[in-house]
Amino acid sequence: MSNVSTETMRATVIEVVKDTILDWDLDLEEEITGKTTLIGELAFESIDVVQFCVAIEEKLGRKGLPFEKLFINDGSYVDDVSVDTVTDFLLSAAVAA
Amino acid sequence: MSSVDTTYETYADDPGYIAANAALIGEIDLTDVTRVADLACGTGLLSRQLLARDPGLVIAGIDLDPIQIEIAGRMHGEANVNAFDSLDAWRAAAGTGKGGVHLNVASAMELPFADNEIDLVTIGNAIHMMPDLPAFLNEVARVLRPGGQLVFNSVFYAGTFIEGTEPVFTECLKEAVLVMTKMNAERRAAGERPIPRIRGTVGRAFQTDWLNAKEWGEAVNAAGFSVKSSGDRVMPISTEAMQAICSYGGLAEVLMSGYPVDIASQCLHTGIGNAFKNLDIEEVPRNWLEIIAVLK
Repeated sequence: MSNVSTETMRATVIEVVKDTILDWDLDLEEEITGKTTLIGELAFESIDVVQFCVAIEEKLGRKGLPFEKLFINDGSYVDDVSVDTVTDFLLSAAVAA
Repeated sequence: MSSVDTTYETYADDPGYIAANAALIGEIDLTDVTRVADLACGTGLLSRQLLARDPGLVIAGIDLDPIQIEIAGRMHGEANVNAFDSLDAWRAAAGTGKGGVHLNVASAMELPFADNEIDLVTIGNAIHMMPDLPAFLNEVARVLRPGGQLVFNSVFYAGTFIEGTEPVFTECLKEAVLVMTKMNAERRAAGERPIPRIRGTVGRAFQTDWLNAKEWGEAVNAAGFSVKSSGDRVMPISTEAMQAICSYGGLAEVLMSGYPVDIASQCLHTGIGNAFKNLDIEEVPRNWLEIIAVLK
């Protein structure tokens, strides 16, 4: 995925985020941007994170992406991730085909 | 899709689960131990393992869930464990050499015991669920006599994942979601509404506050204990065991929050089977934290 620009990947992530929260009746004060956090601002629950990962894989046509490298750090779950963190992860060497 | 067992009973029967707890129970020094409180006792496995070591122990099994207490009572009966019908009877039996169990639906946060009357408190794979850990540990310290022991294990702590195995757990949840997605597609094709979901039934993702072994030791010490031993035990989790624990309603309602528990359990059961098949594995290792602490 190294030939995909950061802007394109970020737009893809934001599109999947918007699809994920479509029916949640969230009262968002700001547009979803790269700085938007999935848990702190969008109140993702654990299963939402998994559904989001599956949706990303479907969107990118890639199965088995190592999301655990994004969400588990030092043997424990991270506190939160932003759209940009997800974008960087998807562009990283860990994900590169 | 057939229904799956959403109680803890199936997992409690798993050979790996039994072995993990037997190993912990085998580590306990039972010298001068008579009165035991088995907290969040579930199906009563730890109580029976303790009685197998010392039939003279009098054990009070405490669990918040009346269904678990009912199962524990049945399984104790099948194992011919002597039953005390009241706490008074349980107290009276202490030291007589005729051990057994008294079961009680109660909160581990408010124990039905007098100060200093317990020699040993066990809590198997449940201490991570205590809503207020310092308050819980203080309550345990209240009921234990000086020199009494607190013994627990858990697979929900920072350090439980063995490096390289994390993708297995991720894959299981992804496959469960795919099963749910397929079920919804079939419902829509049949003109039915998708499976309903109520968001907000649990906290936000990753708010686990998992402690590592050192932090668990510090928490225990802060309540007046001295950690006697602390360590990890690697145990394999088979496909069937993973399916059993994740189908348990208490975990399924967290892993797939907001969905009907029976459907969440079914999705996890099928998804885990698919994941293990995809990965061509039959088991995955995971660390159990074990701590034995003595009240100063």
